Amino acid sequence: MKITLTELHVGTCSTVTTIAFDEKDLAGDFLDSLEQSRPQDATKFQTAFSTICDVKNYSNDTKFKNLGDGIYEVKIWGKRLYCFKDTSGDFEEATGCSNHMIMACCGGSKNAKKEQNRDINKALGLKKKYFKAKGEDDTEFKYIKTDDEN
Amino acid sequence: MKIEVIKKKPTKLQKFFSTPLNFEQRVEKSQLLVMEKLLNCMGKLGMNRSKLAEAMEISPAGVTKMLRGSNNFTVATLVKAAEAVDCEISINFKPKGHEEVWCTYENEHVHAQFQPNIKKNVTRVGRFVTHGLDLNETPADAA
Repeated sequence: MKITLTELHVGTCSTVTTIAFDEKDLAGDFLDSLEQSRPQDATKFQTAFSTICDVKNYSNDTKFKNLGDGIYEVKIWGKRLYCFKDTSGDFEEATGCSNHMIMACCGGSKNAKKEQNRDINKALGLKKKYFKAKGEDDTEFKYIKTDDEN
Repeated sequence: MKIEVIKKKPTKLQKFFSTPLNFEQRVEKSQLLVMEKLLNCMGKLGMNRSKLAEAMEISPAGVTKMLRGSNNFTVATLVKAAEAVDCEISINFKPKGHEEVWCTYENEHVHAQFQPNIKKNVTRVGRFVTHGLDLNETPADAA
């Protein structure tokens, strides 16, 4: 399996990435379409990332809510981005910093409870898939860092 | 676990998220950071949101609005919030790019050399002092 992490924001305590399994990046696609259709909402996520990543163990659940089972949601008006954390420090060498990793795995609208539950279960499945893949030898990890010099 | 780090030209999305925050975003972030400090104080006291609303004489919806960062609260609201969690407000302007470390301690635990205005043999139980430390400041500067 190929797991690709795309760096979105590096704060003083945490780093936000999207996570793709075999090139399928649900959170990246969600944020991409949001940036095109409702840039003001994407901007709200940017502010949330910047705040969450600058505080160790951010606790304001009106912005970043722990849903249990290691799944967190970044909340903005009418939209939700689901994430999980990897605090193992396995990325320290690759990224050059000891930040906790916040991996955005999928997103959706806050419409019906049923839809939200579906998204949460999807996030939970992706989290399990990630941690299982970490323990397997044939998993390929790629970390896409932005290179401003390019 | 082997990780291949790839440095390449940022995608449109990466570019979007690496843009510096605009003024409105910086205001929202500052509000959220203030709220985080308030939540920490509430946590220490075991205070919930409805108790805070009661102490601040505002509605629970008003507290939620503050926590969401969408409410441009006044200094008066901040003072009220600080008093509601048995604190005093303390504001610092730090030079851009500087780091800061804050610690809160009781006077009696401070070495006499660092408290010139405190008379000897006077114990100030319950009096708290907050000290801001500029990491770029050398010990010589501090002295």
